[in-house]
Amino acid sequence: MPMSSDGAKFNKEKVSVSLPAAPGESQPDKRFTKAQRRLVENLLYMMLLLILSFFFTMQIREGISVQKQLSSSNEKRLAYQQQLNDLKTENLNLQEQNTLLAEKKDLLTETVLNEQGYSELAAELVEIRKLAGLTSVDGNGVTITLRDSTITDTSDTNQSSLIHSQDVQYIVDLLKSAGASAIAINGERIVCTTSIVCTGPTIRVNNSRYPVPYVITAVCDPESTYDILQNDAQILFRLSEGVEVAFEKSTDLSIPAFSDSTIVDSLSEELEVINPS
Amino acid sequence: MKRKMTLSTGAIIVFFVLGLLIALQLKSINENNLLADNANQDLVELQEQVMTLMRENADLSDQNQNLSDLITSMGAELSGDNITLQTIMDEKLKAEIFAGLTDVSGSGIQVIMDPGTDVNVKASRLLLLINEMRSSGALAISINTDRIVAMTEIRDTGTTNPQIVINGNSYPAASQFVIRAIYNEEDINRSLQLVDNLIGQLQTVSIITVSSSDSISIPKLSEDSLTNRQI
Repeated sequence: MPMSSDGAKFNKEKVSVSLPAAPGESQPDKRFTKAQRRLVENLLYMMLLLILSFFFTMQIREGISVQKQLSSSNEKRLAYQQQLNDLKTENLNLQEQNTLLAEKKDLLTETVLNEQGYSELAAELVEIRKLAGLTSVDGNGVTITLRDSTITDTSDTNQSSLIHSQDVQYIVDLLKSAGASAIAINGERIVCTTSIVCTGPTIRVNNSRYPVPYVITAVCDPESTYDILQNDAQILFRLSEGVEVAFEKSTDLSIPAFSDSTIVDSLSEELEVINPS
Repeated sequence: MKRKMTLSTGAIIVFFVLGLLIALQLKSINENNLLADNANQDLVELQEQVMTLMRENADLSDQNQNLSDLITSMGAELSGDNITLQTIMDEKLKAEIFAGLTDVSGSGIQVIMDPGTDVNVKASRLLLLINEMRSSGALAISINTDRIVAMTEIRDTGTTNPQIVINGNSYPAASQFVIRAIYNEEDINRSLQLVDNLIGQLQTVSIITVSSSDSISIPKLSEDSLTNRQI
């Protein structure tokens, strides 16, 4: 076969991968023959399909693993939810039992003292327990309900359309100033250790967390307190910001007693009494 | 020519599918991470709620047991046994301490608030501080000589001569206020840190000095105070 003067030609039928011409060697007319190009193309396709199938596999595996994870976490969630529901039921029963026992104990205490001729002491004990918030208080008063604004305002960066712990604190302080004799937030009696703190979307009162709405009940003079609430500048301002503050005069309110005797006990254990009476 | 067309079309389709798959993969990784995070957060929250309720129920069971024991002993008292009167007196003392009707002492902190740039001390600042002290575990609190109890009112009054009313007693708003709080000895450092954040904010408008002591004394609620009389 005749050879070209500028270098060797490849046989088009016999295909093999060619190496680039060595330095100093002259280049062929075409760098790659048709067969070589086809080979390169096939190789490229092969690689592409390989990558494609790799991604397919990844996608499927990812899907399966996420499904597994989700179903396992769902199972756990259901188990916890069930446990939580059982505990809530138990808690309600225990609280009911606690209230009944506390009432029975108070009644018995009074009976014992009266039977032994200590009727004055019995009356004094009732007053002290009332002042401490350890007895339920019945009477007329007001009920205030606080709710977030129903209008969603995306530009409200300060979240002023939501009820915050400061709003609840403000109302409670206002009621104290108005002369309330007992106050409760969602049934939690306000006592000397009560703080009102924001915890995410809920507020914490006496170690219990509550979401909106916040229902504040107070035994007080309904007429004068209602007037104070109606004309209070801060309440009017918050109303103008969209939050809902509804208040009404209420009759026959019953403010529950503070029932967490652990806290009562801890105070008497931790505080040193000086000049006891 | 035809082959070239087929190849190019094939390549376009393969690249398109590949691109699509990569995009899907990235998206699903993000979504799955988010989903997993949310699921974990939900689980942690549920776990916390379960733990809290378990503790609460255990406390309630103990309380109920104690109440039952007390009721049994009172029943014995009515039938002639004489040990219950002391139990009742102990209960009375506990109620008195909780009501703020006894002078108490213990380790705690003292905060002195002087009017700063703002000429007068405001009731709202005192209320914020009291709430923070309670939240950080204060067992007893007083402002000046007034014991802070469950129904203590703290409010501003007067415009020409501003005053702050506490338990019905008036203090000039331009004067110094001394706030004392007794804490559990072990909690005092943690409590100081918690109260410190608020004090930092209040210091922009008032002059505040904080100190801790092993013996803080807090007076009882005065029998003549309005808070005591109106209950």
